[in-house]
This record gives sequence, structure tokens and C-alpha cells, in this order.
Amino acid sequence: MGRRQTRYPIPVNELAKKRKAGQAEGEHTDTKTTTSAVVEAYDRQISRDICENVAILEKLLGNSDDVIFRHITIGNANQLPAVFILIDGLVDKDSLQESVMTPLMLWAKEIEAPAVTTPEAIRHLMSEHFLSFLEVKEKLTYPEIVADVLAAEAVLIVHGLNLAFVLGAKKWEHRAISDPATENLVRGPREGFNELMKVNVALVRRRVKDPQFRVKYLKLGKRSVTDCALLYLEDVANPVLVDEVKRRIDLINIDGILDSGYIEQFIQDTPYSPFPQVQYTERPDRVAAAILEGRVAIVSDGSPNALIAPATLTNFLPAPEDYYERWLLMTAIRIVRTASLLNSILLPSLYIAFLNFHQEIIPSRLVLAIAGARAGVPFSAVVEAFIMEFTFELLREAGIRLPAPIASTIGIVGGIIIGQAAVSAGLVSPVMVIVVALTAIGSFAIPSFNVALSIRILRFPLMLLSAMFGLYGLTAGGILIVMHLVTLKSFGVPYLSPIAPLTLSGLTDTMVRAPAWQHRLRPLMFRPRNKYRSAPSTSYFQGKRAMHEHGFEVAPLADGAAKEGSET
Amino acid sequence: MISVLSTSVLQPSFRNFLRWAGNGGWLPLTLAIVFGVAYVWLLLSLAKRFPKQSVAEYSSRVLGPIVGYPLVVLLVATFFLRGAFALRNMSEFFVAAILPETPISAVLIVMIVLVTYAIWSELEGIVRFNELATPLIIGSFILVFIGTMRLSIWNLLPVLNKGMHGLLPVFQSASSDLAIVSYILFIYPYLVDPQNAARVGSRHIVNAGLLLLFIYMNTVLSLGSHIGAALTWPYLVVTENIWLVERGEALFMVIWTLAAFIKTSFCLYTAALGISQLIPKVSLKWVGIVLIPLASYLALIPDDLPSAVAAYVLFNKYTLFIELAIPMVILLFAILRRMGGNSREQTSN
Repeated sequence: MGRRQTRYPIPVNELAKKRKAGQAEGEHTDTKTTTSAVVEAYDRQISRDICENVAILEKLLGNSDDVIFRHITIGNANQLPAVFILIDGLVDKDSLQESVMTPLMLWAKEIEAPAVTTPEAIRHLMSEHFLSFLEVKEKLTYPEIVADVLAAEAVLIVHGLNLAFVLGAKKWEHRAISDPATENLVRGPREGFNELMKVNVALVRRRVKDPQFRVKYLKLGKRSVTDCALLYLEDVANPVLVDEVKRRIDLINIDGILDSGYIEQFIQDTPYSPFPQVQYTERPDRVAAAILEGRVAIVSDGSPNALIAPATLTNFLPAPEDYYERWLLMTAIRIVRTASLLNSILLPSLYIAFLNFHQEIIPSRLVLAIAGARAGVPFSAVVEAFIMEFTFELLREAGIRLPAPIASTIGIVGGIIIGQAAVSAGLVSPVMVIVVALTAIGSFAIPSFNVALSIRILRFPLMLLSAMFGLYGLTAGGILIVMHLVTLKSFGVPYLSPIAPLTLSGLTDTMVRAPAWQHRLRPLMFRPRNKYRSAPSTSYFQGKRAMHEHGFEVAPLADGAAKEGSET
Repeated sequence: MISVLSTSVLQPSFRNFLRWAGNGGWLPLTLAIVFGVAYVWLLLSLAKRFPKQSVAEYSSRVLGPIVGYPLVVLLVATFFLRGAFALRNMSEFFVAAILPETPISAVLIVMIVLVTYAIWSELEGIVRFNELATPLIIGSFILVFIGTMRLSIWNLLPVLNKGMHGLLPVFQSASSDLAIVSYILFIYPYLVDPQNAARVGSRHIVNAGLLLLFIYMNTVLSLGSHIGAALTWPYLVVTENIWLVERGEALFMVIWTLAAFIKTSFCLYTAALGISQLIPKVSLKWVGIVLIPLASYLALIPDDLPSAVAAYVLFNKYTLFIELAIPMVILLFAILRRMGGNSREQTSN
């Protein structure tokens, strides 16, 4: 990934000479200047002569075998030469054939009419009558045509016209909409994003049918020219935030954007922090919820993960299903989840600290049991902990790379066998195996994979500090982590909002998930333009009182029979 | 302020409250709260005369550079020394309580790393961390109080068992601790809501003073002043005897570590801030980086705990005078010379 700027364009013929002279492979050549210089050299309007156009475009598009130049004549009496230029595999050939080629080649008799002699007349006839396609644009210059061909459009150039018709006939094989791979829910929608940006945008638009919903298209990557889209609600999202997101995206200078992860790494505030500052998700409902809060989503072509910014730590801990289930149950689940997070980062360190420094805290029976279990273990608690944690990390990484049927087997068998064998051999104590297992389960309970990853990494330095200084060292490590978190920002929003700085209204959606009717305000930490989700007077109790006062009656039907009984 | 003042229990001088005043220590502590509120008003009276400047900037104009700058340097030095003493006291406490085999310098090094990072994060980081830590600290003290096994009201009698002469040094010591609020003189220009500074400052002083009083009362009610005075860290013994967690004083190490970190980082940050305001071209962060090893060097100068305690008692004695006298003198001269406030001088600020 580089941001280097080029200075001197190298002419194509000189480059060819160097290659012939046997310039060493791998020697740095500034390919950016080579390619763009060639294209920029032809930055002018196309010619009326189709042969010249074809020659130039063949040169610009290179010798790729998947670039098709299909020459046709329009009309059935050899009237007008034309050429289709497209890339095999990226274009809907069937619809092109049916809707464009056949009519042009076989039925376009009007083109032979004596009146149709001027370029304007030809152009009018083509665009208004023959090209029966929904998306038809006209492009004038060679670089534009090259860009469109590479972007999977089909281009038609007609002899006599100094413009090209670009037909929106994109079609390629892609994955169907399926369950999100990494964000499974018990209750909630089961649609997940796929790799097509337009499909993903449509999935979000279906959920936010607001006229203020905005989609701004961008192209990122000098060579990949990846389509991206910015999604937000114009009357809710803070315009400063939207501008800042756009500004950071515009600053991205890279060859290719192959996944939204590339964008995330460029736009985050602190790249050296282990904590993520931009959220990603495969779920359109999550993106829609974020947009309704006043945040901005970024969807990238080729990636099933949409980015959401800004993101605070409290955005990474809830799961989407927290809002689909009853509030009381989900509050309990959130408390469990928070305990899991603390467990996954602190448990091994606490084990080391208590065993090495503060045995007096452990109840007598338990400390005797642990001492008995560790009787034959040749290593100290610290070494034991590191061995087991490292082994588990190995198993976890191996499980990700393996095919699904083998991975689960390896995970179970490897974990059980390695754990059991290690205990039997006296290398580790059973207590340590339990600690590691609980730690791992705790990290799996964290909904966000990237935060879970951060926790996994931070566990090891904390274990080291515990081994050196006991609870004092563990506390010192915790202080460092918390100090880092309080200074971290995501697009200007403090990372620990709404806890620090404290925002009371924001606490209704942190560890406790308040009932839905109490979520009247949007998260104020994102400074939305419109801070009310619903009318301030709306409340559950007001609604219930209204029902009680006015009764619940169904008007009788026309024939006099009531459909349902009434209740007061 | 609560977090900063809660480290008073870590200071060996805390037992002096019991040694000097016995059962009557609550009286000078209460008076110290009143003094603290009055002191806040004094500080804000001065700060409001020069709302866009810190004391480092206007002292030289009010008193002249020959007198003004050294006074501010003296003020900065009090914070620097507070930080150094906090480092030493905290290290002694942890070594005595939970890390008997660990050299004191190792404990100090860990705290130095933390304080360095805190100063690098600047005031916002320290304040946000304080925001998170304060409820934990208050909660832990309440927990200790609830869990203390034997609380006997009779331990408070007779009230003035040590007579009246011990009350003054307690008052002095507690007031000196509360006088840390003089940091307002350095940070007043950066306050978002200076109009409410008096109300907020007074509230914080009262809360901090009440916490000190609460801790003192808990100690006396639990152990009695005679036993408490014989111990180096009486409150540590209180935490060892709570029914909620058996021998749970190690868990409270977490709280002490938090409190010690906040106090040390806050004091050294204020010292670094003062120096960077005195010498505008110098970056605060780098001043802090330089001050920290100096503070730790100073912290290790006393060879043993009794020497460190004696040095701290002496420091406390004179710090109060310095921190009271300097703002009073500057305010007096500002009034006499009609500088600041609505004067022409203020307009030119």
C-alpha cells in the first residue's frame, strides 16, 4: 500500500525497449505512470472514423483475450459499421443480443433512409429508437470509454459519430444473499450482504424508505477502481461527520481496494491502537439501525462487510438481536456478555496473580485443591498459563483455515486430546485447562470479532504483568488499557462514550437495554441533527392509558355483526 | 478531587491524625473542609480577575518578573514534590502490603510508566480516567464501611482524649491535602464553564473532605485511635477485617493503585503544565517526561520509611503556607494595583 506520487511519465515505446533489453524482473517500474500516461496521451474526443477508434482502443485495452471487439453493421444492407466493446464474463450477453444487437443488425431499416445522413440524425435514431436499453449513457473521450469497459459496461461505437454509447449491461456470477457468516442470530433477519455493492445498498434501502436517505457513489483504488457508496440520512447525520468521512475517503491513495478492510485501515483515527474505531457488519439491519442513529455507512463492491462510522466501544458489545427480544432478558444477556469480556481478558491474569502473590484471598479448601492439582507440574503458574493459552490460540487459528467439517473435529478432538494429554503427562494442571477453556468461551461471547481479537492479544501482556507484580501489575496494565481507551476517538467521538464522558441518556443502551419506548433520543454522542427518534410524548404508559380510557372496540361490520368482542 | 484525596489513606502521615488528635480528629478535619471552601473562593477570586491567563502568565505582571516568576516556580515545585511524595508513599505501601520481596524501585518503575502515559495523554485523558475511577473508589470505601466487622461508637469517646494541642497539626495536614485545589490557578483559562467553577470547586472540596472524614471515622470506629496510631497504615488493617471478603485487602490494592496513579499523574501533570506556561516554547509532554524521572529520583532519596514520613510531614507543614500565601499576595497586589477584573488591564488581556 503506498502513497508515492510519480513524477516523470515514461513513453510506451521506451518501456518496450527496456523490456526487450532484458531489464531485471522485480526492478521497480512506476507502472502507474506507464498505464495512466498511455491513457492520458489519448485524452481527447473519439474520432468519427471507426477504424481509428478501434485501433486506439485496442492499444489502450491491451491484448487481453477477454476483451471482445464485435464488429457489426447496422441495417441489413451494409449501411453503417459499428463495434461493440465489452469484457467477456462481466456483461449480460443475452440481453445485449436480444435487445440491441438483433434489432440493430436485422431490423434497423430506418438507418437506410435517405434522410438519415447527418451524425445528429444517426445519434437521435440510435439513442431514441434502436438502443432499447434502460441505462444508456454517452461518453466522448477515450479514457472514459476505457474506464467504462473495465467497469463491466458494454460500449457501442458507430462510424460517423464522435461519441460512444455506454450500455449498462453488467452481469456476472455472484453469491446469492444468504445468512451472514459471522453474525448469527437466534431471532432476527437472516439476510446478509454479498459482494455486490448495489445489492447491498438495495438491502439497506429496503429497510430505510426515507426520502432523506442518501447514497453517494465513490470510486476508490487507482487500478481496481472499486465502487463504494456512502449511506446516511441527510436530516439526521451530522453534516460535519459526513464531510469528514468523505474527506478521509478522498485521501485514500492506493492501487486497489479489495475489501472494506482496506478502507477501514485508511480512515480510522489511530491505526496503532489494538482497538477498532470503525465497525463492520454483514447485516443490513445493523447498517440500517446505525444510519437511523445518525451514523454513516460505507459499502464497498467486492466486500460483504459494510463499515459504520463512528464507532465507540459500546457499539461493539451489543448484538443486533438485543433489540429484537424483550428488554429484560436482553439486559441479563448483556450483563453476561460484559462479564464474559472481563473474564476473557482478566481470568488467566487473576489466576496467576492469586496463585503467586495473593493466596490468602483464595478460600482454604480451594487453595489446597489447587495446590494438590499442581503438585506434579514442573512449571510455574505463569509458564503453565502461557503454554496453554498459546496452544489454544494455535488451535483456534488452525480451525479457521481448515475446511468446515475438519475444523470442528480438529477443534474438539485437539482441544480435548491436547488438554487431557497435557494433564495426564503432568505438564499442566486441570485447573489451568478450565481457566483457558473459560477464557476462550468468554471471548466467543463477544459479538464483534475484531474486539474479541484485541482482547486476545491484550491478555498476554496482562499475564506477564501479573506474573511480575501480582494484582498491582494487573491493575497497572488495566490502567494503561483504560487510559488508552479514554484518549481514543472515532471521528471525534470519545471511544468510551457514553460512559466517559458520561451521557445519562446514552446509558439506556449500554449494559442495560432499556425498553424500546424509552429510546426516544438518538445517541447524542454522534451529535445528530435530529436527536429525537420518536415524538417526545410517546410512551408505553401513555399509550396504555389511552387504551384504558378509550376502550378497545372494533366497529361492527356493515351487516351488523361485530368481528371481535370488545374489551375495556 | 475525591480520587486525589483518597490517597491520603496511603500516606503514613494518615496515622498522625490518630496520633496527634486521637478521637478528636474529626473536628480539625471538619474545619479543614470549611477552610477548603474558603480557599477555593480565594483562588477563584484571583483567577476571575484574569480569566484568559494562568497564574504563570499574570503573576509576573502583577508582582514584577523578579518576584512573580519565583513564586510561580515555588507553586510548581509544591506540585512536583507532591507527586514525588505520592510516588514514594505509594511504593512503600504496596511493598509493605502485598509485595514484600519486590524492590521499591521496581514498583516505582511501573508507576512511572503509567504516569508517563497519563501525561502524554494530557488533561483530557486524566480527567476522563478520573471520571471512571471515582465511582469505583467511592464504592470501595462504602463497601469497606459496610463490611467492617466491629464498629463501636464508644471508640469515639472521650472526644478530645489527646487535648486541643493535637488539633492544629491535623488541621494543617488536612488543609494542606485539600490545598491541592490550587491547580485551578493553572487550568482556569481552559475551563469550559468557568462561571460554575466556584460551585463545582466547592462541591468537590466538600466531597473530598467528607471522604477524608469518613475514612478517619471508619478507622476510629473500627480500631480505635490508640491501636490505629500504633499502626503504619491503619486503614489497611481495617480492610483486612471485613466480613465480605476474607483477607480481601489485596483486592483493594486495585483501588489504591487507581488512586495513587490519579494523584501522582495529576500532580506531575500540573507541575509540567506550570513549567510549560512559564516557558511557552517548551512542550508540556516533554517537560512531563523530564519531570517524571526527577520525581522518582527525589522519591528514593529518603533511605527508609521513617525518614520519608518525616520529610512528608515537614513538606505538608510548609506547603500550606506557600499555597495560601502566594495567591493571597498576588490577589492583594492585583487589587491594590487595580489590575485584572474590569480594569483596563483586563481589556488588554
